[in-house]
This record gives sequence, C-alpha cells and structure tokens, in this order.
Amino acid sequence: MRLPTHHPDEALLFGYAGGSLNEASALVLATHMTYCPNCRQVVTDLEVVGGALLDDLDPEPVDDGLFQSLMAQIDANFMPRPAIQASRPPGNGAARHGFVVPEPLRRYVGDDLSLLDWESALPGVRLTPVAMTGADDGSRVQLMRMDAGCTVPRHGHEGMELVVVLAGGFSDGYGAYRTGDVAILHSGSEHAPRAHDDGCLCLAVNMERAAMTAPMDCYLSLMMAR
Amino acid sequence: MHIACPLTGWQPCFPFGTRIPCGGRRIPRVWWRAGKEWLVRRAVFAFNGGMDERQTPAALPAADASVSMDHLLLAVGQAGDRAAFAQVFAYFAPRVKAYLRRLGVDAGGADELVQEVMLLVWRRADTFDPRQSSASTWIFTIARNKRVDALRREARPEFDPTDPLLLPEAETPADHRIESRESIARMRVALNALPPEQAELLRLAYFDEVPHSTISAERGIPLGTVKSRLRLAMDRLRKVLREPV
Ligand SMILES: [Zn+2]
Repeated sequence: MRLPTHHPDEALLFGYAGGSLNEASALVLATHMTYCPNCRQVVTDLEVVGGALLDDLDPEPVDDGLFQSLMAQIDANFMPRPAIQASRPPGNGAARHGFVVPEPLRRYVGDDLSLLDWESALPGVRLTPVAMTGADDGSRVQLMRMDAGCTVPRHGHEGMELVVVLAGGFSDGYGAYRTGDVAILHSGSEHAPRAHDDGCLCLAVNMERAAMTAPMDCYLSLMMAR
Repeated sequence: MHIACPLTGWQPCFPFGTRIPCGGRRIPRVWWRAGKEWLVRRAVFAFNGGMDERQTPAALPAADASVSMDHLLLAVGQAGDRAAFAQVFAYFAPRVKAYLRRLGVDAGGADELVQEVMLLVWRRADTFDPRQSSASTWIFTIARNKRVDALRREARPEFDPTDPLLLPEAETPADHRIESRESIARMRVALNALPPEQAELLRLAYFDEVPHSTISAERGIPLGTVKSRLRLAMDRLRKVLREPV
C-alpha cells in the first residue's frame, strides 16, 4: 500500500509526543500514524527528547513516607501484572463493508460505520459527529463521507482544521490527499475540497466554528456547526 | 550550559565545513568527529554527577545513571526486585514531581500523582525493553499519559501496533540509530546546546497546557517563525539520535 505523503507539521508532532495536544488532534495524529511509519519514528525520537527533559528537571523532593506507602499499597492489593491489553480485532463490520476502521478511531466509533447516525449536510456530503471522552474544548470532530466527484463549496475557517483521509481521497488548492494523508488548514485560509473518483471518507477536526465566506454556503456552516 | 570544544573552540551546532568566524577557516572533518566524541564523553561525565551537584539527591546511585537505571528497571521487571525499584523511585519520583509541578499541579496533588505514576512503573516494568527505549524515555511516556488522563481527563489516542491496517516500517539498512541508553546522554547535550528561542518553544510542547496555535498569538511571533524554529529544533535533535560518533 502507498505511504502517506502529507504529514502533520512539526508543532503537531511535538505536541503529540509532549502531551500538550488536545484529544481531537491527537486522534488525527494517531490515525495518521497507523498508516505512516515515518511519523511513528519521529514521535519515538521526540519521546527521547521528553526523557532527556525529564532527566534535566531539578528534582523536587517527594514526601518522606511516599515510597513506604507505595510499597504498602503494592503489598495490600497485590495483583498479577496485567497482560498487555489485547487489541480488539475488527468485527463483522469490516467483513460486511470491506473497510477496516483503524484502531485509534475504532475505540470511538466502533467498526461498522454504517451503524452510525449519518446526516446529509449537502448533496453528496454526509456527516456524523464523533464524541471525545474529555471535556468540550471547542473542537468539533466529525466523520465525513463525500460521494465521488462531489465538491464542498469554497469556505474559510476561523480556527484550524485537521483532516485525515481514511478511504478514497480529495483535492483542494493545497494538494491531493489520499488514505492516511493529513490536511492542515490554518485559520483564515480557504478551500473547496473535491472528492476523488473513488469518493472520500475522512475524519475532520475543527478547532473552532467554521466560517463560510459566501452567504449561500451558510447552510453548510449551520449544518456543520451542529 | 555552554559548551565549547577545548580543541577547536567551535560550538556543536556548526556542521563540518562551516566557516568559523575567527580566520574564516573551515572545520575539517576530523575535528568534527573528535569534537563529537568529546561531546558524548562530556555528556556521560555530566550524567555521572561530575557537572551538576545540585541534581544529586543522597539516594541517587553514583554510577552512570543512564546505564544503571536501565538495568535497575530491568531487574524490577524480570524479578520484581524491590531494592532496584527503591533506586528507580529515588531517582525518578522527584523528577516526575518536578514535571507535574511545571504543569501546574499543586504540591500535595503532585505527590499523589507521583505515586500513581510509580505504581504504573512497578506494574508495567516487565514490558520495559532497553533496546527500544531508555528508562528515562519509558518513564516519561508513562508520566505524560498520566498527565493527559489525570489533568485533562481525556483518553490519549494511540495507534495499535497489531492493527491489521498498520503499514510496517520500510526495510532500511540498520538506520544508524544509536543505542537507547546513549541516546539520553546525547539528547541532553543537544538540548542544552539548542538556541534559546528554539528551546523555549520546545518546552511549551512538553511542559505547558497551551495549544500550539496560540503560542504565536500570545508571544507575538508569526506562525511561520514558530514553525521554522520547531523544524530546526526537530532536525537537529533527531540527527543526534542517528549520526555515528
Ligand atoms: Zn506521517
């Protein structure tokens, strides 16, 4: 299979390895890394940076009794070390639809996307929200399906948008994105994404409400803001 | 920490062949090599406590910390060695606490979370593989995940190494990756040699609860500048983990 050619930028990779990235963006990165050995390697390297930073911190003494109370806790509820969490194999959905949901996303939406509540946003464009586990931080996470050749009218974004392609692909003025690719749309930039001939399934994260530039397109804005 | 090579006086950030300011001569490749060997020896020296007395609590093992911490953690994982765990605790618990304090946890809450992190270290020690990572890196990832879980109460999405969709690494010959226990020593040197404006951004990614998109707005630095600084830092730091000495 083809390797992704559009990667998250340095700030996102540092944020993921360092732990400062919010859950929604981290989900986009983890999904991308399923397809991208290159970024997996980068994150592994940046975790070494974290280890070195930890080593370099001025130690702050912990409470004198902390070690003893930890050992007492270990003795009190001794449990066999947990086996490494078995991964959940893709279920029936994969067999039925021939599409496997990558694991980081499977935890959020299950393995059968046809069971989700898809809403039509525009002709040929359907959306379904993806709930995060953490508190609402203003980011909106959605799965988006675009039919072959369908175009979303030109629009801009107030905040940053992150998209990772799961199947098929789309093109806009910035590039052509296929499975595993990450598209980053910065605040203030505009695009009119058009689905490729095999359609497009992607995970989209909007950090703030999208602002449509043409009045006609307010409809989409309202749909997407829900 | 300011490091200049005693042999040539050059700073570690210059690639070989760079024109040095005094006399306009280029740095010959042998000097470049010699300088790097010196840097690594210097890092190990610093790590042994030769440099930094204040970072040496009484319980800190005197030997090469990076090597022995890996061995100690291995002993915890393979044999449930409590004496080894006591030493791992003595070295890392105060650092994990400093990490949590930097993230804004109050002193009392920090002790509680340190205990949770160290409990995970004890429980998961059997999955520690010194060929994959050093003790510091491994414990950093546990502390980082605890931060996401306890401070932000979020899940941390991670790829699954057994996912049938996972695209494997390309077969690269040996990749020149250095050993994990050496990586930390080298990385500490490289971090200390980083230009301050790059180091500052880096610390934000690891130690602050600030989304990166607001960094540039808050500090009045154009987004493009933030990105190029991070790119320079990333290139420099990743190179440290690969170049043969
Ligand atoms: Zn990538």
